[in-house]
Amino acid sequence: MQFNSLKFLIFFPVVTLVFFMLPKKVRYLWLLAASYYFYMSWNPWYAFLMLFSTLATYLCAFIIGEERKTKENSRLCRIALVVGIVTNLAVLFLFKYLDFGFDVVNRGLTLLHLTTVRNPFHFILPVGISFYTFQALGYLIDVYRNDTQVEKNFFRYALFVSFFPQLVAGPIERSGRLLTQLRRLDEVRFDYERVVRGLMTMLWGFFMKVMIADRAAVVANTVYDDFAGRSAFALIMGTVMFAVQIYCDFASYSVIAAGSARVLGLTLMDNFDTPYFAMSVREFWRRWHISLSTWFRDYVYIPLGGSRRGKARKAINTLLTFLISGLWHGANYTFIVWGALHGLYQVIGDLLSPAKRACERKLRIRTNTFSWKLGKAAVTFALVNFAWVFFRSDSIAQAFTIIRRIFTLPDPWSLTSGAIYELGLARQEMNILLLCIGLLLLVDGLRRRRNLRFENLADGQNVLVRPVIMIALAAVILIFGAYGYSFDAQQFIYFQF
Amino acid sequence: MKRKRIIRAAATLLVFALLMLGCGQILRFKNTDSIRKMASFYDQTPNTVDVLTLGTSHAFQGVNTAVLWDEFGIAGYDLCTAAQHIAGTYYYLEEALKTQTPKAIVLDTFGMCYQSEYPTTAVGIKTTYGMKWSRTKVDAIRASFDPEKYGKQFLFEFLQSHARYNDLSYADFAPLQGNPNVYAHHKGFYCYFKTKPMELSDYAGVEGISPVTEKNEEYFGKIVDLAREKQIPLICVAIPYDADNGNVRTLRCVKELCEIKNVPFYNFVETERGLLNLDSLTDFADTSHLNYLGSTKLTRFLGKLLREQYGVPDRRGNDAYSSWEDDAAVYRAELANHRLTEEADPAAYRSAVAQDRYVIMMTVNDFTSPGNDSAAQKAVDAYLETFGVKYKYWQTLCGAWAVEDGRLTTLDPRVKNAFLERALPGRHDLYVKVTGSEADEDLRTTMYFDGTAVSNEQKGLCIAVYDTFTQSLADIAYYSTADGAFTHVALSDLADQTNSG
Repeated sequence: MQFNSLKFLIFFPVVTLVFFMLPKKVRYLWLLAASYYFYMSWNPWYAFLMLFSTLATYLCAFIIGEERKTKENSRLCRIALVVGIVTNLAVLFLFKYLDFGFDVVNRGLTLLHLTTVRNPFHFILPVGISFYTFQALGYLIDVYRNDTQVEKNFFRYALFVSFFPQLVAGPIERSGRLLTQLRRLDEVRFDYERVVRGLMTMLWGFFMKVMIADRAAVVANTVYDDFAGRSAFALIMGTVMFAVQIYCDFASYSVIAAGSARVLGLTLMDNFDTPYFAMSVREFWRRWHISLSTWFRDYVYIPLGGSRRGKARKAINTLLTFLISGLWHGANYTFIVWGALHGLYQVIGDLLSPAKRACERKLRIRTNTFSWKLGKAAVTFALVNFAWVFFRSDSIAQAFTIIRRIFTLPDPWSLTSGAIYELGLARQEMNILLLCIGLLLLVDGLRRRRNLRFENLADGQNVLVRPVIMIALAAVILIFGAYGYSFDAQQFIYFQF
Repeated sequence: MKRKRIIRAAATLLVFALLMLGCGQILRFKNTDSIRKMASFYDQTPNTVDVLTLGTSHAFQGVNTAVLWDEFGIAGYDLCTAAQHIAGTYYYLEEALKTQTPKAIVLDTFGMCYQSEYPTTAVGIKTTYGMKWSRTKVDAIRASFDPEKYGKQFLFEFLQSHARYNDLSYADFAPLQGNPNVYAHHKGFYCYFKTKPMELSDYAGVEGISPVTEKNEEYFGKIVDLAREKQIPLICVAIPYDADNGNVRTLRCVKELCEIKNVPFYNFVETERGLLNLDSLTDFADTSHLNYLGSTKLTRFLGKLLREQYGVPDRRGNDAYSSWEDDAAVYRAELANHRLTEEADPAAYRSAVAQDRYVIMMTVNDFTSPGNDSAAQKAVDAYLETFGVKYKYWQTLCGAWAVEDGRLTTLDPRVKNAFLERALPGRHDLYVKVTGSEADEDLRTTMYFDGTAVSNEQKGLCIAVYDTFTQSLADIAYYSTADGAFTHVALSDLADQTNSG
């Protein structure tokens, strides 16, 4: 069941209504049932995988908790931790990376002129497996580190792993935040103001998805599915539109998730914070997929030693973390290169940082001006887009072809020749997309400059402003949204990760 | 506080619902060849339709309800959709029988030739979205859209129609049914006045039979059973067109099915083609459809059959059937307009357009000095005289004239920003604009219909004839001052505009 589906528009109000009508003690059971129903609407059998992951981490955490009552960090605790991590990663590998693993092995065998081996299993990637696996692993590691309390109620813990708003595309919540809130679910009251703000948040998420992401997807798909022979302008536009698509697609999911959770009285972490306004790649990663970045920081980068063991080790740790992050996004060399590029950007950025600062001082550049910040944001955006080429391409060879064509066949005249209207979207649709991107920049700009979120736009305004915004936005989404048979239904991109 | 919030939330929802209801009405599909046709069917007085024709565009361009009425007094309705599969046809029958009790059903069998399980989404929409909400509509939607591919999304029209914001026109803001005089569908019939001369294929060398699909056979059986249950005679007809060999073989299978079911079948595509005396050079609009002449021949055959073998009554003179008379009058007017476009004799043309129902606008693109007795001046004078206007061209110093109800309006092209217009019924707009200047000797008049230039730069007289009865542009004719030739301009490019009212 997708957020932008008719099913969800029926499912969510029903879940909410029943949630507030049920006795407070059993609310979590209702949400658990709803979450499993939500997940099983894709493939009922894969719910067993989630249940297995839940059971494995629950039991391992339980053992750690019980063992710790008598001994601190005993051998059994370590075994339980390792068993929990290995079993979860094994499942993830089996369903997500097995094909890729065989591909890597076969490439090696081919190089050695040996017979290749055939993968006997071909599993369909279970939706959201990377998200709930990481969430469950985060909990287990937190328990081992004594950073969080062991959850003894299995059903409550199962709800933590499967909570439907963030189940299939995040944010990857920490037990310290979400589990704590789930324990206090019986304290949640129906708060009109909170519900309305939650609905407004959801509306903005739907706007990002069906007005921007799904239109930008048409351009990105048109260009990337038929990249041979495309001009540099078309390839740049395709890449920029992919940047818009993946941001609006992924952020919209997180925003709808946050809005839905808010209606139910829960607060999810911010997953995106105006990432394309970032003035360095490092800052970009503080604002992009925050829940995953912080997960890797806390459970991979810091355990590897972080920045505490010298510059060289810091660079290696950074590269390694981003390589793993790339692999997390998909079982393909393109994702690994994408991750490596982001790691390299940061390593090079660190290396050049003293020289850059010296230049700024010598040339007396005023770094606190809008123009300087705009320039830095533009350079960061260009670097991020360069990496997106690998992320969106089907193969490394395709990515290199696209990059070569961009740099060797420039066609600046296409900017004014109307070529923008020949990228798969009709003129009106492209105009709507550009208009919506303008609105997105405005809303993100308000958040960046004034820390004003969309759901708070009407604060301090006339009482009619908020209903007018909500009605207008809902009507615009319903009428001009890219859905129905005339548009290809676009699944949220991050479902595949 | 709590009460205030409830009121505020309810008011917000109400405003939103009303807004979406209005937008939904504007955006909903309004295809003239299907959805409006169904809406018009619902408007028929219950139990008045005596002959119900079902099927595809072959039927609604083949069975001429105006000829059925004019020549036999038979009240017929063509409840069809272009490229409709036989499954959709079954649900049309089910829907029609909720309000009508026809004396006979004419079933066009072309829908049985389709080999695909489901029609295209466009055809599915046309077939089903005109129907009122009922179990029949839901079943029709299920039979028209692949559930595995589309799920239930086609059950809700707005999910599909919202994307029409790019295609909105005047018609989307008008009520579904406008002035009955301009209602172009004549009890579901659509008349093609164009002609495509062609040679019909010979099927003598085509051997064998191709089966119809299981689904088509099932729905054909359902149609036969429903007609039997309601005791309505069913006549199956393969309406003439230039079929490919595959369809010819499928129609042979249809014949066998009809024999098994004991239903009469007239295969005018192959075996019974000779019964109609069709002339392939004059009776077809294109390779798939009959034109007005061909449809008249087919309808005469069916009318005779329905009267003599099925006893379908003559309803002429019965007040309950006045709408059939009204629609037939529109058809007669359209036929007269069509004949205008074929008139080669200027004098006969002048007589033909000298009727109160026509608004005439003329422009001249050959401005000679007053008194110079050019060929164009003579032609203009002749037309003005026909309409009872006593002026002479050289006396009026005009570049354009409009004649309406015998009243004359003129335009002097030498006046700055000169403009002559006629606001016409049906929201149509006919006007003349002047460009250039007399001093530069490049003074030009151009006539526009609904914003589109209808006169060209040819030297001579351009005559536009607008029919206030059918609310359409009937003809544009040219009288050349160079060679005295009298020609007509094809109106097909303006067809959309003339039908939009």
